[in-house]
Amino acid sequence: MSKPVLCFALILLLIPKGHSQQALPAAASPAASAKVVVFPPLVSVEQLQANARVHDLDSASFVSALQNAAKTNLTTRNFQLADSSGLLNSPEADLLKQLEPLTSRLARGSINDDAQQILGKLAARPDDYLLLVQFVRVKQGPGGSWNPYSGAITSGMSTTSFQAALISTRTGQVTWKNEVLERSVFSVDSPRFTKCVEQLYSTLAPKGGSQ
Amino acid sequence: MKSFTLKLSLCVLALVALPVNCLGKHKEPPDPKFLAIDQITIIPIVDLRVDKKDNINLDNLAKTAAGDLKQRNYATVLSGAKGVAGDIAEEDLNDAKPEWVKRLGPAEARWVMVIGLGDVHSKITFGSTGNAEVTGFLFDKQDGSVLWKGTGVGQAGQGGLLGMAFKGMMSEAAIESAFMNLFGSIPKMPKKGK
Repeated sequence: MSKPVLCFALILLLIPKGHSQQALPAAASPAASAKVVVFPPLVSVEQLQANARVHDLDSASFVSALQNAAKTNLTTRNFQLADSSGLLNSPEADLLKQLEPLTSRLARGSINDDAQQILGKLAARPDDYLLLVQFVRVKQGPGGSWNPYSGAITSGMSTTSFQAALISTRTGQVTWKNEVLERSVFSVDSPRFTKCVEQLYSTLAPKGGSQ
Repeated sequence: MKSFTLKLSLCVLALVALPVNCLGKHKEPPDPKFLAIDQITIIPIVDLRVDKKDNINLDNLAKTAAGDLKQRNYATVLSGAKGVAGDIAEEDLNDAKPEWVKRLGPAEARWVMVIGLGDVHSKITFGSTGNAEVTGFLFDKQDGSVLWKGTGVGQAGQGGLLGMAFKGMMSEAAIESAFMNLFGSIPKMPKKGK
């Protein structure tokens, strides 16, 4: 093999093959001492139109599976989780509660004026946290079809999107975010759920490391 | 004879009932809130997609929307001014507060339409298909209210080799269908001068 071909092959091997659409650069790595507060995941199931193919989905099972997946992915990446019972009695509890209605925005990494104000108050507190926010949106649409007379075909319109972001209370900045879209609807027992969650956290760098 | 009389009475009944029914449908007056609209200002399309792989010309979509609204007898104007700072998020539209609505679009506009592109996707199977989802909101800036909102989904596709060759057109066809379904739910205005 000639040298230029070898160089090209090496470059190709070195290019990271991450699936992420929105991963932030490694420079924005999370603060070293901050503990992670895992927010209750928000799961929204919507019907796109009246004739949508409706799947019997259990939102509660999604919430608990997402919470477990988040904790597993964070601990395997050396993040320290905040003690939720201790946090309930902390002065930050009220401010964190105020952020919960903004979950769908925050999970996209979008911090609006309301969120900025609350994060500003949290920044003034002595304890430093990282907030993990997750949002799963299931859209149930019409299924696929085939008309044998005209040859017209259509594909199903249902989608499931997973969005997550890590926000520092110290800086009010998004330190990591990612999103995964799957063009189908599935339950938490499905291998597709596991695959989506793996893809979602695949771009989250271990604490203290780089991406 | 009895049967003839019965048939005749049925025919008469049908002839009387039909025009009355049709008349009833056409005479239904549109909502006075819609009748007051003299012009709808369409602000730039908001791209709400998670998957932005398909390249879509958002300016063209605004023109398509204006054309569809014209068919429903609304006067429209395209504006490049969003009026609000930063990106418009879906949450802003769904929980629009009057103070936020009043800042939308150009200052002089009263009826402002915001259209969000929710999804566009095309793929090759044995043929090709396209899907699209759009949402629309019509706001009245005078009182900051939502006059109308709707969602339209569109599916397009053709099987076989011919369908595969037309893959590039499927997104566009799906978007057009989504717009048609979206604006199907906005009241049709009587033609000007009638």
